[in-house]
Amino acid sequence: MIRVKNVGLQYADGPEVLSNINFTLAAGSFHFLTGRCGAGKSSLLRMLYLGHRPSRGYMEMFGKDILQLEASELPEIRRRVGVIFQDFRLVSHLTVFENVALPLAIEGRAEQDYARNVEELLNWVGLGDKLHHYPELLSGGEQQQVAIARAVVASPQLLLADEPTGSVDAEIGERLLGLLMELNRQGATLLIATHDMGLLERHRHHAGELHLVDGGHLRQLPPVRAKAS
Amino acid sequence: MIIPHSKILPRNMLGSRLLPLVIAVNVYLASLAILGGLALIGATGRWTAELDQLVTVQVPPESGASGTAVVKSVLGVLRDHPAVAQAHPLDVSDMEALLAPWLGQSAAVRELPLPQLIDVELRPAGDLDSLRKRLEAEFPGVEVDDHRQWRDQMQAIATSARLICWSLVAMISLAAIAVIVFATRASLESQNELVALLHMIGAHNSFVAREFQKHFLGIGIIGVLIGLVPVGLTIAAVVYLTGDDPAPWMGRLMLGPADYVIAALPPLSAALITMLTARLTVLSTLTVLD
Repeated sequence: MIRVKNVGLQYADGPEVLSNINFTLAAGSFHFLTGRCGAGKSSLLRMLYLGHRPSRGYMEMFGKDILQLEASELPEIRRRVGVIFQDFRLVSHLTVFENVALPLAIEGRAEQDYARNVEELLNWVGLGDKLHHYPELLSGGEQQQVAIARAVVASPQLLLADEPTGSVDAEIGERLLGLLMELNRQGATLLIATHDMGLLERHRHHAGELHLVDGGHLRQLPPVRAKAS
Repeated sequence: MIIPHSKILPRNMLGSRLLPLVIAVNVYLASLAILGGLALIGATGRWTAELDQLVTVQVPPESGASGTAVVKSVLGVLRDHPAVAQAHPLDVSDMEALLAPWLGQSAAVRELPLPQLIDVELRPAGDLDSLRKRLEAEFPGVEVDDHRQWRDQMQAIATSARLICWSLVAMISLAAIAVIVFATRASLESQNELVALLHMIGAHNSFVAREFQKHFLGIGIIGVLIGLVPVGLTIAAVVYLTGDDPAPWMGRLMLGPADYVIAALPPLSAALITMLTARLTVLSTLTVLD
């Protein structure tokens, strides 16, 4: 589904922040991406949600050569990627419902067509009673749940999560991770960037592969077999 | 009336708070410029139309009975001519009234060797040239003044008024567009995080532009509604001042129904200009960022 070969990424005329990146993400797979702060995890995620296109190499997403696409063609690819940002990036003047419905609104769908789905989704993440609250009235964990709901509401094929448990306590972090893994079981490819070693240790056996970003280079650690249930 | 607005952008974005007032002022000024220009153009049109039908025949001053006989002969020719609807000589009191602004109410006017003036009203499409040739042939020294100089001046005034009017409207529109571009950019800048988020979750530039367009259309409509209040008050004041029996010059300044339709163009177009300017500004800015 995602193939990256000899990719480099640089911002403007600066040095490359990612060099010679190679990896493949199969449909429905689950990956952890780890590394020190500043190693390039967020840049790699940004490249995958097309916040910044690679400056060289080959990158294929959903069968499209990303470097050959026109700028006007990128939104269609982005709609197939759900992103959970470390800082949530919720829109403060929109309610929980409106925040979650945003990806559907930009597809031009009418509210009456998706209202029920959004409400069900918010019930599923545990915010069914806070549809019309504004983000500032929510706790960090609740905001993260809204961010997850927004990322998955349009049924993306690729789900990217940047430090999804970084802003919440351990208990809520575990619940959020459970939500993400449930989405992976439902078919979404999942890539979680984290430097939380405790989280990695606890859940590494669930992940198909573990990637380490180190100084702008990506190393693939040996595959880990899931524990027999 | 439901005013459109974006469901995604905040209502009170930076750069758009005072915009309704700016648009209102521009609507008022543009409407005044158009109403004033139309009134002046209409008045000069009516003046020149009246002058087209009027000529003045001057019989040079001659003393005694021969002068009176010449005037009678000229009147006879005029009244028999097919181009003439009616002709009547100005009497002494008319002449005194004409000269009063320069000479005052003095009996000495009667002693001056003044030409005898005859007001002639032509029939529609009356042949002035044949009348002129006949008078000049039969009465040497008699002059026919068709007020060409006045008419040319009136037409020049009308042309100038039209140019000034449209220049004013163009300048006011350009100023409004410049302010809207500035406000749109400021709004876009203030919402750059939201715009970036929209892009990251798959929004096309056209979607972002459409949201800004809706927001600014709402602002434009509010501005127009505010601007229409002083426009209406001004028209009401003019109508009140002219009253049932306006002065002749003011009566000529009155507007017809078609004029009010033209004067409605600035309010009608202001909201659309606001919307389109915002859309184009957002699209051009986002295209550069791409």
